[in-house]
Amino acid sequence: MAAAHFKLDNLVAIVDHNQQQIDGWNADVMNIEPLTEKWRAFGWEVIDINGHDFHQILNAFEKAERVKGRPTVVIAHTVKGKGVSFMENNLEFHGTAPTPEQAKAALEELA
Amino acid sequence: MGKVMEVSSTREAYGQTLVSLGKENPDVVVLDADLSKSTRTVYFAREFPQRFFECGIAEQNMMGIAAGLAACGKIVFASSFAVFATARCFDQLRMSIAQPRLNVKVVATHGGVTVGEDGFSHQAIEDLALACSLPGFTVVVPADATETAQVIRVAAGTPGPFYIRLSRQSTLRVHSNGYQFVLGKAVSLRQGFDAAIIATGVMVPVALDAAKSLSLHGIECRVLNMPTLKPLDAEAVILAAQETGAIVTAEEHLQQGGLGSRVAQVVVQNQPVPMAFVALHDAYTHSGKPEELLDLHELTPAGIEKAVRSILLKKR
Repeated sequence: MAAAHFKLDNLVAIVDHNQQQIDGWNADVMNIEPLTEKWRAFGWEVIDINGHDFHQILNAFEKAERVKGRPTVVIAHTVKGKGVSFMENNLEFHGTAPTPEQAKAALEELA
Repeated sequence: MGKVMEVSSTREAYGQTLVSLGKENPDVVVLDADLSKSTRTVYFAREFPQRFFECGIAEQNMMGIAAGLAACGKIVFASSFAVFATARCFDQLRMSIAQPRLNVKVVATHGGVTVGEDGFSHQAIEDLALACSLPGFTVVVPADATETAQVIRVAAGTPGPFYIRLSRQSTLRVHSNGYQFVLGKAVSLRQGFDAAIIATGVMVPVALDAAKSLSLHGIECRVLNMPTLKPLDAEAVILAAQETGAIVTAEEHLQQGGLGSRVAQVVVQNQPVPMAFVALHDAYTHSGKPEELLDLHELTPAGIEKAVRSILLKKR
């Protein structure tokens, strides 16, 4: 609200929108949708992207630079633990560090 | 010292001092949360509109903006009523200001029960406990306008977070024009060896009245104005305990977490003596005229006299 009020067009917020929180899926714990419309209602330029796609990320930042008179939010739709089979959408890893063995296995999958 | 009991307004002094500071230093910026006319930051806003940020009724966000401006090298004054500037945004004070030790001066007006008719929703009686609990925060409660002007200047020139509590209503003047505020130092306003009354803010003139009245009965009290609650002037407290053997604290705040608690910690660790606390006792109060509320809670010369007499009985 304040960022839009002060017309902060050099401000970009990024939402890592993986739809999960510690107690479960956002939709089950406390629904936050429709997120895009909420940011827009607060006066922000909203860009929805696939947060795992670097081309989309760069394009979003370039677009944000051209937006004048209001701040921009990039809603990056992501998957928690993306790319590591045993971590993807697994809430156990929200606040728990992997064991050295898990870390090794995860890095091998990502290599 | 207190001979001429003129009336002075701490928030008025704050507003005027901000304008002087603004003229002297382009890095001074001021934020308010839709109360600039009441907090008197409006004077700065009129003079320096480019350096005044109206944050609306969003104190949590105001503290975030204050932290950001401080991180960019500004000397930031952020103001609201004491209830809103502490309790509502405590997490922001803690995480965005105290933990990174940023140069934000939270100056809160309308502290204590003398907010009056606004009722308990608007009476800050926990603010000093909250502010004192934050590591790295310096906490100051000026007693009158003269002291306020100096406290604001010292705060502007001292890096790090401050919480400064001012009042809604005008208070009696305690300091003369030549007064010199020193951060972290108590001010001796009256000498005495039977008991010491350590007071802060609006209770300072009340303590002086009580001491005057007790003197008529042959009880001579030392009166210390303790503007800086944190860091506390432990030396003055210990000396008072040693030389008088009995201490009464007086504050317009809950008994716990403010001046009384802080003085007691020093006393029990260094020179245990009987103590009494003139303060609010673990209860919210009512809507009423400031004087009525002060009377109701014995935040009065009579209340302090009673407290002094009670500990004189315990004094060995």
